[in-house]
Amino acid sequence: MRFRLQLISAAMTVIAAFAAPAAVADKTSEAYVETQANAVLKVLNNQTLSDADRRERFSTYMHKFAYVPDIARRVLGPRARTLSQAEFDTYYKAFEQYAIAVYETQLDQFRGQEIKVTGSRDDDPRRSKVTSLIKSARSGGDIEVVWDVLKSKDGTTYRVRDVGLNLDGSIFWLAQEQSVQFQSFLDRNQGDVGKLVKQINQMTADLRARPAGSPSTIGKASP
Amino acid sequence: MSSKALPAVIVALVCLAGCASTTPANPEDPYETFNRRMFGFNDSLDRAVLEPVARGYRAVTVEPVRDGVSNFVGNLGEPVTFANKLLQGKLIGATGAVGRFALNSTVGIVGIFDVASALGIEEGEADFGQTLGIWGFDPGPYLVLPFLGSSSPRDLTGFGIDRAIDPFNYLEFEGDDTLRVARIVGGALSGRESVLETVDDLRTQIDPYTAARRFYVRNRASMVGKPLPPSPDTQKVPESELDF
Repeated sequence: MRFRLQLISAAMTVIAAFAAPAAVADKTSEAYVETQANAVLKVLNNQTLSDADRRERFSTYMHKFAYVPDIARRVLGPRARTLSQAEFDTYYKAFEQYAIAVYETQLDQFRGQEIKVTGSRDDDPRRSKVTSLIKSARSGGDIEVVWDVLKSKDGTTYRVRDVGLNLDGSIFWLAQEQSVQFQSFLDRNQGDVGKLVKQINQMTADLRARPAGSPSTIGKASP
Repeated sequence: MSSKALPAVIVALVCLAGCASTTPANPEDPYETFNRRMFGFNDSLDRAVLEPVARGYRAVTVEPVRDGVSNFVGNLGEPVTFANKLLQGKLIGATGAVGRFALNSTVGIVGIFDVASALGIEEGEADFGQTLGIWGFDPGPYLVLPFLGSSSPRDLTGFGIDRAIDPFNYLEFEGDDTLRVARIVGGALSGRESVLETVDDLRTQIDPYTAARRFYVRNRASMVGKPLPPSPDTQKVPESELDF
């Protein structure tokens, strides 16, 4: 009996030794998401900022949270490897502006709200999925937002890899959905990244020009 | 399905058969060429008619009025919800639909006020396409139909069955035709008004058709309790992304 207790105790110690770093990663990544996401929302809520200042601060935050070139490459898929540096730079510039415009528009529905982290799980020691809730001013209900977070080698900083929205029980990962759409666009346009860049720039311009509540003209350019 | 919608669906299915033999198939979307044409047609129709009317409706009404219209139309759908909940073996949901219909039709004045929700009996969605899914029928290929929008053979069948079992399509009383017209017009107006921002968001996507297809397919899979598995991208991170 005494031996069995010792064995269980030893097993628990071993499990705890492995479990502890994961739990710590969970809590720190949770805190990271809650702090940084609410900082972004504060920027959106700051009525003293001009549109240009708000966009600049938002852009700064986006680059702090995420390594945008990686996301841009991932979204473009295998074709990213075939581009010259100059071509990639042109695409990246368009992608970055589009991403800022999209997130600005999407996050606008959460103005005046705060994100509350509800839990997380570690996929591995350097990757966590952090789950949070935020009230949408548009629907009045809570929306579940999931953050795919990577931890740096030295464990001091994080990067958001993708953001997922739970829509009626299905998680829609924004970068992933964008990637599928980019592939589809390229497939229908003989893989012409130049056309994709043109389309991205058009969508960014439309997004920026869209007055709230006006009849939409966006998407007309889609082939 | 109403008798007026049937010819359009038949024409669409005939076109679909034609497209199937000439278009290279995308395994996730074998009727993509046809679907994109129909998506474009529906989008043009929406921009020309439905969207402006829905924006006008929002402009000239206050929210409680719009809620009343939405509640009224929703209440007329409770008998079909009840039947489907029953067929899905969800007895609590079926009882809820009966309770909602009885309360909202009486205390809620022909369904204008959603008294049932205020009492904690929440609205539950159920249709025969979903019922077929729960019974194990696969949805089949994604379809976009003129006027009806996103669907699948399973959901199109369900759409027809739902209309066939809807008692409000058969009841005869004074003003029954007016009620049916009010339901169609009110449903279209109220439904489109409620998704104005969602459709705006959809149109900010690089490929709105693909976004709509993926949302529909995943959403319906979740509704029948068989959510699609996450893509490989959510499972593995390349080493290059971890180098920081």
